[in-house]
Amino acid sequence: MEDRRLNRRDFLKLTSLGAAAALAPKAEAALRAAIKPLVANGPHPGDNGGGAHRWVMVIDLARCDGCGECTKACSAMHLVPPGQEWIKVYNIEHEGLAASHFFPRPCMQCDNPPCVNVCPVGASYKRSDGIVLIDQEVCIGCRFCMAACPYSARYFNWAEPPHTAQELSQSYSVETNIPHRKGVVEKCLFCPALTSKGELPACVTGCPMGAIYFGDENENAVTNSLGETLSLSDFLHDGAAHRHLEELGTEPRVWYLPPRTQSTSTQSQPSAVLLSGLEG
Amino acid sequence: MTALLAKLLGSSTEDFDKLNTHEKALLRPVFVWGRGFYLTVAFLALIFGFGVFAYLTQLRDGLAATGMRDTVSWGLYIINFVFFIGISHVGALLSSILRLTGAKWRHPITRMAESITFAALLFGALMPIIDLGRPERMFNLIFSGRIQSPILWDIISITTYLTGSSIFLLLPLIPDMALLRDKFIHAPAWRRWIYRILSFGWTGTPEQHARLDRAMNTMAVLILPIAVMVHTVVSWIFAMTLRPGWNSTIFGPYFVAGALASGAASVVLAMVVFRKMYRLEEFITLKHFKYMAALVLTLNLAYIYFNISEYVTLAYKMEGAEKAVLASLFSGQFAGLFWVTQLLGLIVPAFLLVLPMIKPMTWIKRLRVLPPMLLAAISALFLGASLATSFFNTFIGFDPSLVALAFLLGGLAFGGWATLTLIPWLQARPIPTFVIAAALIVIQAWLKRFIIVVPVLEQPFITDAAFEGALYNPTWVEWGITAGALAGFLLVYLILSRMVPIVSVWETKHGEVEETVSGPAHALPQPAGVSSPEV
Amino acid sequence: MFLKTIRLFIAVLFLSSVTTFTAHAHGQSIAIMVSREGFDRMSNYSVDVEAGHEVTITFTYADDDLTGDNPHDIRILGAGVDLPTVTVSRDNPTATITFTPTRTGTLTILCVIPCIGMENLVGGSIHVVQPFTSGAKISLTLDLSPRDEQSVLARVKLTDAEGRPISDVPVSLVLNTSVGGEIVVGVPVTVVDGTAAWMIPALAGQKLQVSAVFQGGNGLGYAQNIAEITMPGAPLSVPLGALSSPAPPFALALMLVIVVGSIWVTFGFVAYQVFSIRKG
Repeated sequence: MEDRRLNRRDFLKLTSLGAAAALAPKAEAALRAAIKPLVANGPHPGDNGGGAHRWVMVIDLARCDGCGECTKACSAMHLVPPGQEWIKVYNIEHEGLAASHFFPRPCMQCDNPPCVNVCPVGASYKRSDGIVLIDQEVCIGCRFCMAACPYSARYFNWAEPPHTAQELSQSYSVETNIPHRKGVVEKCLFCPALTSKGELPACVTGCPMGAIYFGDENENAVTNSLGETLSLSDFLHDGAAHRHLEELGTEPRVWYLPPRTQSTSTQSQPSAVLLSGLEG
Repeated sequence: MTALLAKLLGSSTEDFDKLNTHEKALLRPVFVWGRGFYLTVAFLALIFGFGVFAYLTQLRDGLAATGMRDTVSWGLYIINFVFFIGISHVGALLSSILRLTGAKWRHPITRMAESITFAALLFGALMPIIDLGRPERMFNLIFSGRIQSPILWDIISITTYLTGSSIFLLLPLIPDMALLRDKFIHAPAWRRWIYRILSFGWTGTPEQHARLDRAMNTMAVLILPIAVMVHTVVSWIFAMTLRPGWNSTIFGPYFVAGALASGAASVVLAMVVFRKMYRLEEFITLKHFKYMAALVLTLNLAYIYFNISEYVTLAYKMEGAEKAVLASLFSGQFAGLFWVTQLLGLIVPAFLLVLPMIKPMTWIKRLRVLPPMLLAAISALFLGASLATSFFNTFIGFDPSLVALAFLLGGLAFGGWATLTLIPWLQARPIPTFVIAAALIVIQAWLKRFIIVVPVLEQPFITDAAFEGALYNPTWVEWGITAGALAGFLLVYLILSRMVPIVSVWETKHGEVEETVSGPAHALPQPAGVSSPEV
Repeated sequence: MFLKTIRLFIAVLFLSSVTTFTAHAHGQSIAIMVSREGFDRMSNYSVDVEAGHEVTITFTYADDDLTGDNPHDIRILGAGVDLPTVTVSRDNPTATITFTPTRTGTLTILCVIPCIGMENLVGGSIHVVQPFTSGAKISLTLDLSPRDEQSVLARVKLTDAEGRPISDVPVSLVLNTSVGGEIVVGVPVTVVDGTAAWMIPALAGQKLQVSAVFQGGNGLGYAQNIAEITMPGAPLSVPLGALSSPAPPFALALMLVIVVGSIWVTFGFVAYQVFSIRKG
């Protein structure tokens, strides 16, 4: 009896191994076909596809004066819940002698997005036009993407977000993230609802200094709120542009021009002089 | 009341009297359920119920009911998750490694270890679900799960480990289930049904022993890589992100070592509790404590090595992004917690574990240094001052080097006092010493998880000039759920110890541990039911 | 259309007024006061100029009533111009800038340093309009066709009213980007038969909208035309990394199936052993 059992075990092992070896290529195809319907690449509500664009943003830190109009425009456009700033303007201080500067931080829409890589349910996904979208009907709220994002660009609805009748009347779309829901993650989306209509994102239009440029990498042109349209490659080359934390390998799609001082005036400390000279 | 419960739940002295001495010693808790047990169950159930209430509050209000916010987006729940999964590694350690190395002394404690594994895995796996913002969508993890995500690897490995350790808990239980099926005739129907099903028709024939042996050997070999895989994958929840302090290559072995150490320590605690509660002094002897202490010491030293490896390597370089995290650990917001945890939770237990194992240091009594009371006073003063200032260092701006000096002097004075007073006392009482050390290690394990998770999240890459570090203050909801999970874990464990004998009857023999030949190929033919075969 | 006519009318008036005062037949000279109340004391200053003709703007400092200095750095921004910043202040009360706008559109005048009244100095605009010229009527045709998989050929033909080709004149080719910007992609010169050709990079599936503009001059009138093309083929999908793609990477899936599968198969073997215990 002992021998018989052993033989059966060995036999099973051998046959299964042999079968695997023989059918490997067919098995691969079959496995791929079987997995397909189970994965989360199903249609996402409101996703109109990316078209043949590859969106890119360039922010000229020399022009940003920290006014925060970009944040206000974005919050108005997306009815962003209070406490969240999808484009957040930091005041970055450097140690030592370097001056501080303002740093608007939208979502970088990385080409190697850590948030998409770690999402266990495929709620965060990258579209062909480069934008990383979140399907909030799939998101389970595990917040792994928030731990993974080095830019702190993602926000979570810890409580039920405040609603208005206008907000609730819209049907849910991944391109707007409206209506907002409790217990899911959201972030800057590069305004796909606007760009699909040929308009610039809200933050770009809202910037009074024209510091934020936006455009299609395929067209090699970026535009800002003041109507300046520049050649992307020349702009990045001449401006010595860099991407933030690119050494982490995230391949961000937002470029920054260095914060060389805005004023070309030879007058120093105009505000100090003004304050002393004001007569009201 | 007790009589009614007894009738319902099956406490019976009738069958108990018919057992032999060996069985009586081990089966009393199973046959006779008393008031103490019911009260303990009620108490734990109350705390567990409070935990449930806290979770319902969280479901209603959203995760805003916790102290987590956008910067510190993971908190107590993930800490509990890592802690419980860590503790659960003890089953693999004892049942598997000790079986494969043929350590016979493991027999009385394997079942309590495997039960810890089982109960800890249950509540460990529950924690991330409690942490979800949308728990009702939990099954998306199956329907649209992405296997590129470490969370999916977690699910696969924890499910596999839970299945494996349940099997491994069940296998050596089968002969004892058969014993209870045969001897506990007046148990209520539901208990008789359980004993009948889980004994799988065991009658103790040689063929059955052979099958059981084969099954247990297979599981022993299999469960070890599974256990290593589980906690490695849990560590990768952190190590697969880019955050400084988590972005480390040694997280896998680091976590596994910590898990094994904390698991082994928790078994020591279980040993002392059951030994007292169920009067198992003749089965769980000083020798068992000494062997377990040696095991805990080895694992503790290995974990200290990994800690040193991780922190010293980072501290030497103080690389940009890690600087903020390390500063908050070494001298900032978490300094008190970090140093107390590392010193009191890792270094001191190592010494405590060694003390009873070496020859009694009688030469201490002959020392005529500063009287112990004075040393105690000095140490209390300095340690107290340094701890107080480091905990409240936002209010009192003490120079950190002075604080460190005070801590050092206090530590030296404490060392002196300990040498003079405590060491002889501890060496004379080995079991309490081991238990203190084990308790320190288990508490350290939880606090260490806190230190791993929270300080890193409090220091993101991009910070404002005005940023001073986000603060994480867990709310009553989080503490309540933590307490509820702990109570639930203890409840499951306690009920398990009352449903089946916590010390395996067939694997131990009255008063001594089997010394017969071990090895997977041997299956000694024995008459059915009564005494135990080897291994 | 109506606005264009109005603008044309204003241009004519302006032009006729200017010709009274200057020697140039088509020179344009504008004086603008710069103060904390705005350009010419208006926060929405606006002026019209003609395309293709030189414009000279003289800025004059008008914050003399302040005790202190309120310097302004003035920039003119917009499609088709790249002008330096000029500064006016108490010590430097006038600054002049001269340029020739080549394209119709709106340019923005603004002060780019923090000054008192900055909010009134961000909305100045210069409307560049088609010149009213008595030049002869020109016909300009624009044709876009795919040249190969990565480029489009733009062919322009200029003929006069009698159908005779106009050679040796530059024609600007402007890409109208998908976010409403305009960027010059080439300025080919017409050859003997009045045609000019230019290659514009394009990708499969990309939609391009190109304008061709002829400024006029030397007795010839202004002309422009616009054309669109959608490149054939599906948009090239940028390959996502294995970790970011929605479908599971085959190697990982296979490895998991093998490793985890064999563990569960072994569990099954163990379960078989256990259930066999029943049989004795």
